[in-house]
Amino acid sequence: MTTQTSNDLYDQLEEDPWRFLQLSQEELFDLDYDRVEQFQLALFKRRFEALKPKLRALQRLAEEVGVDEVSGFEDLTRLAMPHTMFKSYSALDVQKARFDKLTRWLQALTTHDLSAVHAEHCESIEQWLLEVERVTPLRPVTSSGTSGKISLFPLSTVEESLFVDKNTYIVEPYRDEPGIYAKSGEYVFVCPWPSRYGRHNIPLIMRVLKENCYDGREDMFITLDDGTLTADEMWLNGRLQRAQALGEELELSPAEQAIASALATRASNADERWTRFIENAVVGLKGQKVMFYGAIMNLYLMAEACRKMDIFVEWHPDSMIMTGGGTKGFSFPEGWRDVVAERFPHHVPARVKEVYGMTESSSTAVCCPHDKLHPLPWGITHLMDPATGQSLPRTGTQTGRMVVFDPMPTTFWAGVITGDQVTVHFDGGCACGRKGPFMDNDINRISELNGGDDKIVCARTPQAFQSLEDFLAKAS
Amino acid sequence: MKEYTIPLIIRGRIIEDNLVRYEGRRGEIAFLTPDVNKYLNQIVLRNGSDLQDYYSVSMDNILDFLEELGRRLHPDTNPDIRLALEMNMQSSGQSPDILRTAYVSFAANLRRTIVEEAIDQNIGRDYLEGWKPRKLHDRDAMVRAFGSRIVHLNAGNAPNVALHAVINGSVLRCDNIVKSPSNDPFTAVAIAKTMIAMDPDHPITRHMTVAYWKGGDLGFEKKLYDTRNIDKIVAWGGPASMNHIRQHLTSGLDLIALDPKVSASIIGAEALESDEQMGWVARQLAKDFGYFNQEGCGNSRLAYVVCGDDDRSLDRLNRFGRLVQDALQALPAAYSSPHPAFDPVLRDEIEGIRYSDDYRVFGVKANEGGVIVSQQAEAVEFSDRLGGRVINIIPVPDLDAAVAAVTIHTQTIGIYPNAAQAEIADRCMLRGAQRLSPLGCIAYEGLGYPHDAMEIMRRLARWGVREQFDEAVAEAGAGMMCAA
Repeated sequence: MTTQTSNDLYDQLEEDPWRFLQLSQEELFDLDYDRVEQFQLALFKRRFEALKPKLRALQRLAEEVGVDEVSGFEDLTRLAMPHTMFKSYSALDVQKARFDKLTRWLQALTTHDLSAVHAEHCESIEQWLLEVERVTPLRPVTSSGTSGKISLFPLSTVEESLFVDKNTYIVEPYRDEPGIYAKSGEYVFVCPWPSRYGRHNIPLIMRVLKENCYDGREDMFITLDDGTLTADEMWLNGRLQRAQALGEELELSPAEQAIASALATRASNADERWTRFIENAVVGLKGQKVMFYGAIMNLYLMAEACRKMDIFVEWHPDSMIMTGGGTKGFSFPEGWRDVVAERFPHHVPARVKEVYGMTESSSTAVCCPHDKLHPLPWGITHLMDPATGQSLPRTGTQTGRMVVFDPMPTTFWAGVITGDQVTVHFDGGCACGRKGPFMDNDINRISELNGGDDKIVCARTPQAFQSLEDFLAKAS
Repeated sequence: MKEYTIPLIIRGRIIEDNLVRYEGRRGEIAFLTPDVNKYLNQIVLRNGSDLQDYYSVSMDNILDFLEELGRRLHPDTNPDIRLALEMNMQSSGQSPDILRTAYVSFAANLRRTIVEEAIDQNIGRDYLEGWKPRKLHDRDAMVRAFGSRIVHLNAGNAPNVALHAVINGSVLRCDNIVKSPSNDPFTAVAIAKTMIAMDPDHPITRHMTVAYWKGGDLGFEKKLYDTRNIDKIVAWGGPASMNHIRQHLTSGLDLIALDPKVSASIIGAEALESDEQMGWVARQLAKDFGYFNQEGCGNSRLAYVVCGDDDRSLDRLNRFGRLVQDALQALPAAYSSPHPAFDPVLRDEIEGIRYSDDYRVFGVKANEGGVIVSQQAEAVEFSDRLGGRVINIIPVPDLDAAVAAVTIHTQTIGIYPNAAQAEIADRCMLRGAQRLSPLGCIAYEGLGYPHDAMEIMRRLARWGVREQFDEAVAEAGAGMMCAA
């Protein structure tokens, strides 16, 4: 690139960050990071100025913390929303079908006009979401926690396509690192996810890929289970788990009982489901180009299912495995890595890309051969002290709670305080050649860092919730 | 990370060999302590007859011993207690002031009059001193409470918990194996060392073992939890540890489960009637959730207040919430203080609702604690996480709605006004509550009545019966008389 071209490019990127998506991974990670930081900050300022008058939640937050205008990256720790804000509605409103109140709650988080949403006839959260999606461009992403409610992230059709790019960029080749051009639509997407459709992050990725890269071809997507995981099912999951944990009474309506029963039946057929999945995803795809997408835990479960069936994964050698999520939170048996390597003999480890991403940001991070995570450069990665909330310096190596800001979205505020503790090397210099800050591939949940797994108290404390599937299987 | 050596105490002996390393809670302390696996045979009392020595001392002697022990546990004069306090400062949820208050109160807890009252009210001294006769319609019986071989799985949220094992285990003449918790790894050791300094050969000392092992150490616990070694387990703990212990239960092994509990407040509409009333009730409520930093099962976490759902009523409730927050901040430092390690997940949850129309949040900016006022009749979704001096005030239409929220996990309920206690008492109990107290007093639990819905002293004892019949009955056979 000539200096002139380069300057033009930087100007264009600052003008419109979506232009980042026209660059290759090599071009992205070759950008002058000082310049990148300049327009990251400029975009942070610009988005704040543009969205504050339109988003009630951001207004209240800014007033509370006393920030009128953005002056530096450190303002992000005060202006980022806690990830819990996306479930701050009242559960009672859902139970009593007061969805007009939910609409008002959601309006505080999006610039889209929700006045056309008529919620008075909605009897369930699924019906309300369908109505929201019918009359507005909003496409909320849902996720469930262990405490009852489901999160509703205010994504809309304006930003949906980012879910294509954030997941295809990072499997692209970089220098001599292997990769694929997943947008080509020639790789069968294999994902051991227990539904094909729904509003969770994973079905969303499948949907946007299908629409944007696969001409809508259903046969190019293989999941553990078919069907849709509805918001009503997710809602019921949460309620059942909470009631079980707290010893509360729960009266299910006939409709809810039917949902619980269907879920329980599905949960009780785990072996059968995995066998069917392996038949489709391994036996049926022998020699074909595949993009595997799933958590490391799922990769292991798939290998284990193959071991039980005494078969090996023999996809086309160009296939890629895209995984992440680390090994925390799941009890991997001793020797599990050997099981994975044995059952994926042509792809593990050579064709594995580890990634670290989240619904709240399109700036997914890819793991390089030196086991370092490199976030796609448009997003701001910032750190705060997990105890005090104070901003940490953006120099040297720092460990703290990660705060992200994604400058791409224009209809919601994409500054979020994550629940993760990470170590960032702000000065860059990774041996893989990518420019810009990078992270250690050792992500910890803040909630799990409080130590003391042998602490005993008489007061009731949060417990490890039994998995829904176990619970339902027992209840059925 | 500061590292300590914590001895294993076995029946008057202080052992510091075969050390293994553990990390305490919050990763701020580590400790080296003997590997219990090397000492299992010495830890357990295989032969129950070896409790005989306990019966050579009178209850007066035991009470004297405990009172003297109490006098020697003052942090100003006892270096081991000072060390326990130092460790607790780094591993517990209490401030130095509160911890000091707790340790200073040891002497009062072990005072003769207090322990005697607990005995008289909970079991009866006659049953502990000898065989107590009972004249039945067809026989003369005698009943006596004997000591048993007990493993105490202590809780660590307050130092005073360590005294439960000492008091109950001594007056019942039990063989006591105390497992220290990682969040208070030294208090029980400090007490046992003080006993040894007092009289290493006293039966109380000779039947006191204090050890640390990591809860869930399958190898050790499988060997320990055997009816050849112990009779009963007294377990405090969370659901996971309770479920773990239950796996070990075999026929003959009794589990006294002090399952985790939460406490609550029920406040009548009278509280909001005048500003003066509101201020007084706010101060009482602050005590119930603020004392001892809300670390105990007796601390309130949810306060149900009878209140309308119109804007004016909710405004008043929100004013009450602000007063509660003010009252919390005014509590004396010896009883309540900013939490040294506020739960980061709870903080996230609160930040999530801070700007929601469905809740008002007062405080919880740093670790000062605070008040969440629900604007509808529902508790926050994360109610099971409330701690660090944070209470959720919930408007309810009437007392019945508050009672409906009581479950088997509810321990104590602070009630205002006092007259409401009689009105809702039976219904609260039937739903699972265990103790009702005036608002402002729930942290002040006595020893002379049941705890966690059971009479623990009676459960800890092994009850013996002797009987004699008239000659005619004996001649005919007792069963025959029954049939006649």
